[in-house]
Amino acid sequence: MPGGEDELEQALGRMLDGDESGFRFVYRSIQPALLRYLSVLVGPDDAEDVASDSWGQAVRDLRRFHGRVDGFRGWITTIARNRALDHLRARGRRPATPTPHEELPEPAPGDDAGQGALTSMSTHEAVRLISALPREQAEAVMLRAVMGLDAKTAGQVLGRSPGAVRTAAHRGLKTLRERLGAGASNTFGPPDADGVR
Amino acid sequence: MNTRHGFRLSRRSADKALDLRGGSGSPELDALLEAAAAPGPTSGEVPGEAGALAEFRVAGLVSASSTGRATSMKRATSRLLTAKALAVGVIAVSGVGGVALAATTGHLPNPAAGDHPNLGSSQDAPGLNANGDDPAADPTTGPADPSDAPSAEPTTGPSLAGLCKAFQAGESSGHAKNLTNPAFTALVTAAGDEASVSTYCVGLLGEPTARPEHPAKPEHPATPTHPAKPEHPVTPTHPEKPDTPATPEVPATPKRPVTPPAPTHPETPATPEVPTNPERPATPAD
Repeated sequence: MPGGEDELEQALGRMLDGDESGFRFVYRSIQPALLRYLSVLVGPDDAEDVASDSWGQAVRDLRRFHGRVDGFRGWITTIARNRALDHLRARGRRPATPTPHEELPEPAPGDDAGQGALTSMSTHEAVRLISALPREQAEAVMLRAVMGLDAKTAGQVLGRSPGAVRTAAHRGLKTLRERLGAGASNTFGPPDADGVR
Repeated sequence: MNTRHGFRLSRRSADKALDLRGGSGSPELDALLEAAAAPGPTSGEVPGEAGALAEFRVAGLVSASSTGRATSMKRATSRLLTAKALAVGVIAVSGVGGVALAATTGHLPNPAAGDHPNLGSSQDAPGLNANGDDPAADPTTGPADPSDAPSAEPTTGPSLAGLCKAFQAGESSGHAKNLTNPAFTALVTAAGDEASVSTYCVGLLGEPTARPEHPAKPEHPATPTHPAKPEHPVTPTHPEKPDTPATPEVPATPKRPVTPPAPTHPETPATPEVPTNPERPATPAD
């Protein structure tokens, strides 16, 4: 949303000046995506709690942030990711719990509850499909496509090189496409040697 | 880049697709990414907004006046420490006095165990009392029920219950500003938002009963609101309400120390317990 980006930039500026309407705008622009990203990391049940902690920390530390919207996206994402990993550690769970292939939800074309005519799949389904990727790939795809980070920023969030992020995202997309196409033309063959570990 | 499964997806195409500019060569995949990134609701609040906004407000207040707050916090803390030190002093002195008195009366008021067993087990309690936190709770029970004090439990650190008590005290005395105090951040967070704190606290502590009616007054039934007077110690004339259990019968000076720290600030006790500190360390975890 290129038009919204300017507005968001201004809202961020107001927010950094302590303006509540600015904060609301920024929050509403980012929180939905952040929740989706977190649900990939910690599962949909805990995503809201972790997001809430993350925003709490972000606003407390807001004085330490200097930058623009892109930077802020990366910053809040980094906070959220750290919180998510803490959360997982506290729970003693392994972060990645990819859904086994058998349980992969079938993409349901037309099952589109008001998401707009362009999309043929609900957000929920899409995020679930991405969640089923190996975590490294899922994160790369989510940060790039959903959080809207470029490869460099995503790399900073993940502590990896931009190239590594590109590779992971690329593999993730290939796998997704395979799975999407599996129902139609392709059979659901064994994962690509370099696509999925 | 070729795959063995009959479609191509170059890294460049992948990048493009990830930027939501289509081009993955697969409409399904493009649609999936679009769906995953679909904007949230265009109107209305999104999940967690109220809570986040409350945090934002509090954070703004803290940063705006952090220095001022820091010092006032320090002051409050040292005040409390002084109060506690003095109160402990009172116990010690009154212990001696009690013994002396016992020599003359034959009755041994043991401040540690005797008539008021709880006192000995919680040396903090008098400090609290001195700050007017708890004795006010129920003046009607007469002879100070020191067992009340531990319920304010300062030893457990900044508890939500403690914050609620402070909040309710402030609420009843009309200090609506309370929740904007960063000390209440934890409470507001726990409750969800400021508007919910009152309900939350009732859920936690029950209705603020006797307290609200006498939030500040009954401080020290024994040394009631006349900080100057108690210097005339020889007047154990209030045997009915020996609020500071050991003290009433004590002759001479010991009473004086109690007086100064008997501030009429019901909210003070909560402040030094500052929850913001324990919380801080967690904060800069990025």
